[in-house]
Amino acid sequence: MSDEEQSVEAEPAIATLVRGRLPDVPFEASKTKSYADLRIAPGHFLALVTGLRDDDELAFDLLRNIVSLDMEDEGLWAKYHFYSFKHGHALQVTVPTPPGAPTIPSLTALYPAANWHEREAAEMMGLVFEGHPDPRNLLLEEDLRIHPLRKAHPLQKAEILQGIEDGPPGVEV
Amino acid sequence: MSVWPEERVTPNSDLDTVDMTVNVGPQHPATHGVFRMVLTVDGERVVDCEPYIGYLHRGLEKLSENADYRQAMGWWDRTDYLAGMCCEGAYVMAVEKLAGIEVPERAEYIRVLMMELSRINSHFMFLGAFGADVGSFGTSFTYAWRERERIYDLIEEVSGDRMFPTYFRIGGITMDLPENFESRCRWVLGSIRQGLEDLDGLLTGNEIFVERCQGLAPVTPEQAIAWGFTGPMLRATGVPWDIRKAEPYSVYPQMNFEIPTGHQGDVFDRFHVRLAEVYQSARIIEQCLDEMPAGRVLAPKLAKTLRIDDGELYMPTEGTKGEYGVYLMARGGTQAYRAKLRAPSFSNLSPLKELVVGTYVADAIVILGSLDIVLGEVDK
Amino acid sequence: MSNDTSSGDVTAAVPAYVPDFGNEAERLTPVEIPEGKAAYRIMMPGIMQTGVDTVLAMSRKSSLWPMTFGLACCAIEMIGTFMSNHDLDRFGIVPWPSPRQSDVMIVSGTVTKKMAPAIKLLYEQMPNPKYVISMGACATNGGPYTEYDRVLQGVDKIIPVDVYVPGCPPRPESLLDGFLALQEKIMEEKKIVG
Repeated sequence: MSDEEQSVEAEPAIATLVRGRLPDVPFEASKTKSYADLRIAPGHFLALVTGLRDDDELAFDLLRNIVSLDMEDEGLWAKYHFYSFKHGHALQVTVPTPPGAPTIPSLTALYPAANWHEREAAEMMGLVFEGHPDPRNLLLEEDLRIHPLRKAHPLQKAEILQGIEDGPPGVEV
Repeated sequence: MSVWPEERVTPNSDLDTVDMTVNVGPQHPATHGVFRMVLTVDGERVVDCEPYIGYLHRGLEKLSENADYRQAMGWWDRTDYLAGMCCEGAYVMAVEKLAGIEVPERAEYIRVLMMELSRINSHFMFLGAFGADVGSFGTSFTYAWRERERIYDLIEEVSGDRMFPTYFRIGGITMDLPENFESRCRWVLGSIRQGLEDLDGLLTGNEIFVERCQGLAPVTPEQAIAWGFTGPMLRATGVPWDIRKAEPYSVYPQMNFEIPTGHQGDVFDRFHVRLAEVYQSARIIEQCLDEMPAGRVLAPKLAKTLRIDDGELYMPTEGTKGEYGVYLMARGGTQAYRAKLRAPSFSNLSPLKELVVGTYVADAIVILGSLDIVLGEVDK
Repeated sequence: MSNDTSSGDVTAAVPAYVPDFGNEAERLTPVEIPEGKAAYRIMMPGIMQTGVDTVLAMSRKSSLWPMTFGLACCAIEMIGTFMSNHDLDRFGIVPWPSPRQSDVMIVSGTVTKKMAPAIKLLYEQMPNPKYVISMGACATNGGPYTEYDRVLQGVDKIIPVDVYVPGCPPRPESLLDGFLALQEKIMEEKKIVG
């Protein structure tokens, strides 16, 4: 967990540490209700993650979670959560993608754990992970090309009527 | 002379063989749920394994975005359906942290007590089902179910429902414990210890069990961390990491308990770690009963409708199978903008191919059983 | 008995005996035997004659072998009903893994559209006479997940269901009640060919 910041403007300690160890990577730091958040563009993402994993002071060796978000007008975002066993600190990285170009480099080569998380994010939200070795549907059927977690994807009509007043499923009666 | 047939007989290199595809389909007697794997076998050895999931994809995340924070709890219960209250606790704690609601201390103690009871419930299911996978088809199941029914009776007495009591509320719990709960709970703990001794005696020293399980699919700590293992799968490899100690929540900092670990991360170690964890959970329950303070059980002055302003958080908890994480993003209003479940079984299941390839078909079933997956979490 | 000294007819002195049975004729009217066949007839001590359909129905209901088809949370309560506390074995109900040799399919849990073809295949693999128990709210009409579009709103959209057991999840006693209702249904049907 990141240390408490001294003033409202100061960024979290973990972000300062990352900035010190990886000076060439441009990111913005902020604080969430749980961990510090680093926001970075997809182009520099792979450089940041390679640094997070390989650097001795950072040593983020566990990729816990990948969250895909539909931020409507702002495009599709992805959030990554990391943890370090050596130092016991955790971090969140946000990768916003511009609307119309939802492409993020895949982390499967660095973290094998990312494999299934990225497949799920791709089918549920429509993000495209470049370099993923096996981009098939995971939770949905193989031939479906839908993205259920998008805000535009509708819910099903709950079946309230029973009996012959109904039409066949899927038909509005 | 060696035991194994292929070492007794010189292999005939003129023999043409064809690999066979075996579909361990969505319905199979090893009761792990609707999971499908397609094994390519060469004789009796597994050459390739392809897991297929998604047969229980019920849309927890989409439905949580279209319902009130308090209504959504019903779906979160049913993700890890072997331990309903652990999942409830994780979700409710995440919402409270996001909204900034303080929970009274008595409610925290009762929550931890209920969560540990659910953890014991889930581990007994594992012990029963794993014994069935290895070979003692009915016996271990029946032994395990005796204790599970007693725990269900206890939970039903407190909350009204056996499996999914929406007993937790955002801000505390619904109602206080009934009278005589403490004496009944201690009796159930005694029965649990007796049940563990029975299962221990049936399985752990059993020569067939040890022969089948020891040395099967060993995993090193580096591999485990790279694959994203958490929970008993990771502790069996020797890494003493438990979120209740590493990133504690609720009243776990005041509890005394140990973290059992294994040595080589093989199937026997995973079994042994889960068996030992039940003893530790029983210890925590006894401490909860001893130290429970008096007081209210629901936070005072809760608003009628729960609205949460902009914010996001990721709350990891120690679920029964590993790190059960809840990610919530709120953007005003009474509904979550995004709710995501980080399911431990999802990550534990993903490297199934690497674990299973090279072993016999029967061993593949045993390895799958030792992962202790619950499909409600995997498929969300 | 009167000692009548006057001479004359001795028979006139004793009144005629007319028994009065009151309403007994109504009370002892025999029961109406309806047109139709008797359930059974005892031919000789130890030998009973009855219809084949009754015997078949009784044997079918007393030995229902369900195919273990646990999908989700209801499967845990189904397993609990098979276990010692709420024993189902005493009714002759033995869980059987293979569909080719089972009588009943208990659909316990949410049916998703990905799983539906497998359920249809398993139902078609079962030999006649076969029955289906839809256990839980999800198998009845989609349950709590009914609004998600990957969930099939009830298993009766693809296979015919005989008994619906409500609950989320139904208690073991409820599933037991469902089995008893199925047994009544089998006795009512009494078809010779299933």
